[in-house]
Amino acid sequence: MVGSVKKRTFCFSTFSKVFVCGLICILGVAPSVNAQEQSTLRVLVKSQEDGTPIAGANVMVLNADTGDRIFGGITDRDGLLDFSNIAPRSYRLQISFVGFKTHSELITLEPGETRVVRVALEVEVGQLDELVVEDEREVTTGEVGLRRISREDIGRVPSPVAGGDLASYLQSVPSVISTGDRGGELHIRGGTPSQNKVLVDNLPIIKPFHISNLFSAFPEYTVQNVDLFAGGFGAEYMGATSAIIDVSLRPGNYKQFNGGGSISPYMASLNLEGPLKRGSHSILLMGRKSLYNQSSAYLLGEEEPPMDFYDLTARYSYQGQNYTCNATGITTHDEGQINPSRSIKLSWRNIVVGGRCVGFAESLNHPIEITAGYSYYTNSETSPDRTERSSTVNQLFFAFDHQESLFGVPIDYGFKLNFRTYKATLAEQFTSFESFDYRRPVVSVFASTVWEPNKYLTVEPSLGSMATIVTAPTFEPRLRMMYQPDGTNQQEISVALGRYHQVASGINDERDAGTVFTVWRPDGEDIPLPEALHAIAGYQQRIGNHFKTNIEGYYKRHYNISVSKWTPIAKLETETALANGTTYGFDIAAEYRNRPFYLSAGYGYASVAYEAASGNLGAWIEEPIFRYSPAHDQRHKFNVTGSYEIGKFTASVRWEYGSGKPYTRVYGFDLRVVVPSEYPIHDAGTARTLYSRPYGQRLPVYHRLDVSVGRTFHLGKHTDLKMEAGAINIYDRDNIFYFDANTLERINQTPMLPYLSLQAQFN
Amino acid sequence: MKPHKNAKQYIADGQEIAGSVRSIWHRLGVVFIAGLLIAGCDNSLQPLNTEKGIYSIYGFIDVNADVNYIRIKDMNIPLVDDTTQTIDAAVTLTDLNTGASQVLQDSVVQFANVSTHNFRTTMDIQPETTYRIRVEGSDGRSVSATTTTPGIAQYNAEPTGEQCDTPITIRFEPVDEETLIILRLTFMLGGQQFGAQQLLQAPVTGEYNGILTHRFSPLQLIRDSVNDSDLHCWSMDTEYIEARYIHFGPDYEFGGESNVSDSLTVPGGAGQFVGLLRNSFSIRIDTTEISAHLN
Repeated sequence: MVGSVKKRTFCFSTFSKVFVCGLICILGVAPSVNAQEQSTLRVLVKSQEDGTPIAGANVMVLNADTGDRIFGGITDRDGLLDFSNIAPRSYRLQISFVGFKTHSELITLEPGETRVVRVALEVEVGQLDELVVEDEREVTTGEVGLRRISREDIGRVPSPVAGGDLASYLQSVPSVISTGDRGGELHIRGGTPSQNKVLVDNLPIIKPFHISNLFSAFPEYTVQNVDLFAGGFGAEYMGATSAIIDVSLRPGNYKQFNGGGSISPYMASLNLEGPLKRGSHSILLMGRKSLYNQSSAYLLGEEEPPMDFYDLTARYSYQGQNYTCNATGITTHDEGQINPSRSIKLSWRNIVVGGRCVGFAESLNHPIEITAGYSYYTNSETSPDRTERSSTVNQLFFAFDHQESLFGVPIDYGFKLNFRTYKATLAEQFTSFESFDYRRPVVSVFASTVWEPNKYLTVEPSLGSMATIVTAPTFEPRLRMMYQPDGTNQQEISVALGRYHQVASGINDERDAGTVFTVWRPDGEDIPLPEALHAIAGYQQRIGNHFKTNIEGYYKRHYNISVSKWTPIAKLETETALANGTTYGFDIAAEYRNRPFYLSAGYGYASVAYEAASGNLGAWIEEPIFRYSPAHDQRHKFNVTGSYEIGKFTASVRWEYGSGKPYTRVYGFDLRVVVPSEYPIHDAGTARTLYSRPYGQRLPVYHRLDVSVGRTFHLGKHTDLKMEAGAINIYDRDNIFYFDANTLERINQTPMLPYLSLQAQFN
Repeated sequence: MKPHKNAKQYIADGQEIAGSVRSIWHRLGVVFIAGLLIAGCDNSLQPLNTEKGIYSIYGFIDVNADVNYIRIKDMNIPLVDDTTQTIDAAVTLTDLNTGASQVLQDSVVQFANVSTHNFRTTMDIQPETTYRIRVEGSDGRSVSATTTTPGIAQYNAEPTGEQCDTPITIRFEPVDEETLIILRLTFMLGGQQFGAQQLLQAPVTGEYNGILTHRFSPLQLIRDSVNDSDLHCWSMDTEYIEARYIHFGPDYEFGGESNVSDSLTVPGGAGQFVGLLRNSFSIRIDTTEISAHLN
């Protein structure tokens, strides 16, 4: 019966061969095919104020005579939107975005013409009422499984530093579960941190979250927007079996220099941005350093485990008439402890450097995107006996993305080359692995298209494949469909399905919340590739112009998850076994926006269950297949975020409630005597902590209220000072993080964190 | 095809719907949040499973011993806190064949900062008899384990007093086929003890005549144990090879001394409770130095 657990191993079937050959054919043929008589309209939207591109701007192409909408879309991270194969005639082009005046102009396209319309939106004095903007937002967004996060959204969530942070925001999303307030581990709809992929401007970064779960390498200041795919993502994203966090950084101001700094009890930061050449070249620099170690003893009144971190971000951007480029460098470093009673020192570091260019000249049938760079990640764990374990991943990568028309159908296709090295230096704790040094080039290709048979239905099929030198190509078909019953996005029903693989796994000792040390190693050689199937269905309804609600149900099936092998003994050895997992649930969210008031509420129900052959998971389990809920199986999560502008003040509040997560109780403590070779009165025996059935109990519920009040003072023509006061966990709830199995000591999450932050900006 | 509404129509419709929806949301929200707050009041945690894992029992009863010790540990007390000189446990050993029982007395032995409770029994342990040890706390929770002692097997080693390369056969009989014997042969060389261990048990297949045997060459034993092919019997400090053996009862599982299995053999607790018979005898060898032809 042990063998009855389904292990999914890749077989390079005939079907897969046909798929890969087909994909190659598409890639080979596509560039030679072009629609000669149809026209292409390319829209580039930027801000007139600072010259930066506007992502998420609504672009609508209207009938020039009647004003009826013909088609539309939203701009990407480069402020770019491409309409291909459209009839050559006159249109009214209408572009809008929150806080900017709506732009409208008449355009006439000639047969075969590719027109690039460059629009600089003018800032609305006094800020445009969101009512009008929302009304105009009648474009397909295809949001199933996707949450589009703007810089403004990040800023609304109270954070104990000046400005918001993506990490704080993500924890307000019902689908996102953190195992505590330290460790930088985020689980998304049942997926573990190593099953999620983080991209920053197309560059992979393995763990950009800081040891304090309130912070990441992505503060509000540097972020332009973030797409969080909790599942069901298209084949343009390869190499993750659960979720994608796609971060776009903003370019520096193209018009004028500004800079500043901030300080709070927990962090200090400096920033600078401005044009290197006005209108076309800019830089953006930001650095942040935690002050937690220096301030926690004074503010929290007790000794907290140390943690220290910093991040540095530098970005150069070029914006030309025919192409835009940026070069990005990010480094992060984290160091500290999670458990105050165990002196395990954890650290991790990221270094990412890379560049990305997008060409959109009239001479190109479709935009071309090229990304290249280098990414380094290392993490280590040092025990009190000074034993150090470390795991490092290096990635050198190149990506090419292009669009073409094939028999009149727009095809987006691309490929990625990723040369990876995985190196680990391990002590005896990881008994499944010895120290290793692998080199694995990974090649992935994808092709996708958009088919709109009518104005109500949009179908986005995509295919992807990925291979390494030791694994055959994967076969990853995916499909996203959106149906708008009334032809607008007042209502939208959407579905996403797909098959996903990844070629590397991160293994950590999930039994021990006191460490987040993760061993990264390639899959596919001794262990079959992790695989997942996703199915998501969502319904979104807008009511009026201020209220939006949606409900989304999802199902994910994971295969070949490497999990820690359970034994009854609490010991430091980490052996792994393969498990399969099932996640299902639903999220309900409602959002009300009506300046000066904002309120959003979300509820998420989730069930995460793993199953493995019990022979793989140690004792205490009599049944041949062992089913259990892993530590991130939080069934209920409820969150409310609100903000209100009162005069010159802005107040923000966030309340979060989460039901208890599974934990493993201690069965007992004993002093084992080996009978009969040891004798009770002569031999001390071996001290042991014995576990009960894994994850058989649930921790108490978690809830926390965060509040903040801020105001900006204009201290002259060129100086603004923003003051913000607030508190994290204002009612000082003792939220449990975990308990120490050896001492039964309860480790709570952060108590009330009061703060006062100051942020000065000069321009 | 449905006619399209313009923006203002949407606003009007939306405001109407929003009014009624707002009221429903308001009520639902109040009920929901009240429920969450009530559920959120309980912040207690019981990390220790007190229903199971009550006591651990480690020890053996030897048919040939006058006194036997069994270690009892309250599994609900973390080791770091276990410095008490008393244990809330009444320990009783019962002969299930006769019904005779004895309440055992605690002998506290301190190892570093940890007090261990080793219960002493002087009960006359009989062969081929089942015994139960029962540990009960003052709250009535109890853990028990049973074991059966082996029968008495006669031993014999032949030939003795022969030269070093003469094979010797050790026989045990009668031995119940459910039981096993661990035989350890040791000798002294250069002031140190060397030896080898052998497991004797009934064959898995074929007929079993109730006799377990082990045949060995003293010369080979010495050379293999010390890993030195130049050694001879006259290299030994004495002219005797010591044979120590443990005859386990039928419930003993060889190789079951793992961390995992001993956690399962005492229901509601942990440990190992074993009935056995320990004995030893000497085998004389001719250690007279002879010519080097043995090389």
